[in-house]
Amino acid sequence: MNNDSTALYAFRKYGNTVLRAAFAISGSYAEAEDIVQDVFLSLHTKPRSFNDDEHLKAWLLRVTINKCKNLRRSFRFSRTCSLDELEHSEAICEISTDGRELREEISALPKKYAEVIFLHYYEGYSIKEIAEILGKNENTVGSLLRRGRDRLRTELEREDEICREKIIKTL
Amino acid sequence: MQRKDYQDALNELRLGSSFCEEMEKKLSTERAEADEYTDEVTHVDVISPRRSHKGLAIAAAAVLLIGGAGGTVLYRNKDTFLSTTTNEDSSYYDEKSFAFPFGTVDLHGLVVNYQCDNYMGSAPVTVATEEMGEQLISLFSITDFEKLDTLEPIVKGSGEVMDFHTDYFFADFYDNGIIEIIYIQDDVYREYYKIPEDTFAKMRNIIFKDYDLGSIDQFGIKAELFSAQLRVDDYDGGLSNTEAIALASNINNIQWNERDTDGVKDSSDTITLDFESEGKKYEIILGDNGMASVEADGKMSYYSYAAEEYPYMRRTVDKGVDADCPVKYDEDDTWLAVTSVMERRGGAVYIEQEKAVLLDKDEKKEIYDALAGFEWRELLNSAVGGFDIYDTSLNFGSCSIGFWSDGKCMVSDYTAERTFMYLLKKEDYQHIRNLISEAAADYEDEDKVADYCIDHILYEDDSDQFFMLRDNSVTTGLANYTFDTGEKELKKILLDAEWKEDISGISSANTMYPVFKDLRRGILYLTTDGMMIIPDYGLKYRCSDSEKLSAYLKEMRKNAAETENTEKEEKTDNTENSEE
Repeated sequence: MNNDSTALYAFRKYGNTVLRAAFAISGSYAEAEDIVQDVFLSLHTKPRSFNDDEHLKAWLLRVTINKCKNLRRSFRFSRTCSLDELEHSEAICEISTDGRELREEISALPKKYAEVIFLHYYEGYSIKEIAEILGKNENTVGSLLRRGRDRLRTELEREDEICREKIIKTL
Repeated sequence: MQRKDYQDALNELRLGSSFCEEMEKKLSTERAEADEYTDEVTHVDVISPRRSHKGLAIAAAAVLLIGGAGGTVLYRNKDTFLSTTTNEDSSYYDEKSFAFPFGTVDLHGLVVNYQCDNYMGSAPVTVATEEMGEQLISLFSITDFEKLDTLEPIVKGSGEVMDFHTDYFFADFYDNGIIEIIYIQDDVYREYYKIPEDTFAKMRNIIFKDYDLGSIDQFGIKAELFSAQLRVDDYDGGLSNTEAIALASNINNIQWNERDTDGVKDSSDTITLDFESEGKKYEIILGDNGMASVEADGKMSYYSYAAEEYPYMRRTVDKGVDADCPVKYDEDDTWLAVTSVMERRGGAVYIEQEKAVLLDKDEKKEIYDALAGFEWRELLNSAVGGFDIYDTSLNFGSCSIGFWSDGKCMVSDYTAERTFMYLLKKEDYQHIRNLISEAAADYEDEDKVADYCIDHILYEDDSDQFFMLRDNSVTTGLANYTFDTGEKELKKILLDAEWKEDISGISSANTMYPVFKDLRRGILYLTTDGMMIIPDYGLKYRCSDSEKLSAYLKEMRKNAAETENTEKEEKTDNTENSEE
């Protein structure tokens, strides 16, 4: 990999990965956009060499998580305007709206769960690997994963119940 | 939710073409000035995702092990500190530095994160303003930072934590005044400090002042709950800070509907809060039937709300009820005790390491007597909580107890469907931990512990059946392979092997076999190069001769896959035939 073209190569190959990680963790389309830009421009400005694509990807995910952690915008703000922002977002498009409800649930997950859920369920990292990436105890990661999963499930089940109630009322 | 649903939902997101075009343009141009983006990475580690390595990527994580289980993010990022403090409308570059004993920090513009156990909303990350910076400097100037001479994991508060980091260290402030500093220069090492507990609350009140944590603004009442009196079950006493914060948040976010009559009297469980504010007395009673009554200086009003909110509130103020010690003593029972300790790995580098011991008769008796003497309170409404997963456990034939540093403990009965949560005093947790640490310190019979774990996970019964987790569960929808025979032979091979503890956890194998019999008892992760990892206890072992074991597992999995394919083909044939 030529250093000078690393950022461009990385963007083409992992732009969407970084976007999805940033969205899953920040819960905001606008933040995700900013983070994508920030991550790759950082790499462009200060290129560094990587052993291989996995190495590059691991670095990108680490920087993305770090940037999500340090968002200046408030937690509450970023997590309450996410879906409305989509209408005004120029950077992101949904190729279908099938997963929109689930994305809404994902965006509402507290950040501490969102990180581990994304790394485990999307990227396929083990608890041990996530513990290393996030600098957390493996047990903590296991707990966060379990609680995050329960929380997602609870939220989805809640929505199901509301839907069911609505249907019953309509009948 | 399935993993696939999650992946699909995110895969539907893509960068827009105009954004991509714009980015490609930017990335194709000459580099920007070096100081415009100042990420600096000193250490990047290759972590291979499970998909590509089919199993543990332990080898890949080898470099990271230096940080230990409680390690840290091993890179520094200048962008995280100074540039995140830029703000369009303030002069954030004025220095408001304070020289802590662990390093100098510019408090003006500091990015602080706050988390409160049970308070799921957490508080937003806050960037300290100039005014906050000054107030913090005044506070810290009169604060005594006592350096603790310990590397033992110590009780880290009861639910609140504020953290920030600089280029050089991560700082976690816990609500009991403990500060954990994790340095990330060259090697990773930790230091602990202690400040007065009320300093934490003062810090929180300065930094997160705008969020009125712990205050309700509902029913026409604006008041703090920190000094409120709580009545639930047989408890009548004060609220902890975390309970006040969580409960206030719940009350503020619920939709309350005023009504004419009192519905609380029909509820079977209630939360009662008594408090004063600006000379007025208030009493709020929340019923589990979705009814509430509010008394404000003698004037009553009544409300209804969604009853499903009640369990969330109830969990935040679960004080438990008196209970007997759940452990029964049987001197013939084998007791495995596990606790984590900090071990020096050379220089100033430490690793958090699990130590296991099979207790002898005297140790068992001493620990049992201690347990029997504790005041146990069974938590009736709580889910698992606390900052970390338990760091100390006792495992018996039929159940296990996990101890958290905040006093919570979980009793898992392998024969029951549920687990039971209890609350102990923090000093009781510390006492049990000390007893186990002492017993584990000189214990060296690693093979015996490994055999106990094998025997416990592949427990004796009439069946010869066992299971193996599969790594393609997403595509097949099946979680594991089922083997109707072979468990006893596998167990024999495992017990015959000589196991040595391997704290490195490094494996160069790219194949792993996770075998189990009943998930409640745990899983053995076996690799082709002779590693056995038992995540439930955090234990890792290695045997020198793993050929027989590898060959056996390989054969079993191959047969299972072939059988499955044959069944699948038969099924397809049958379907096609019936369609014809």
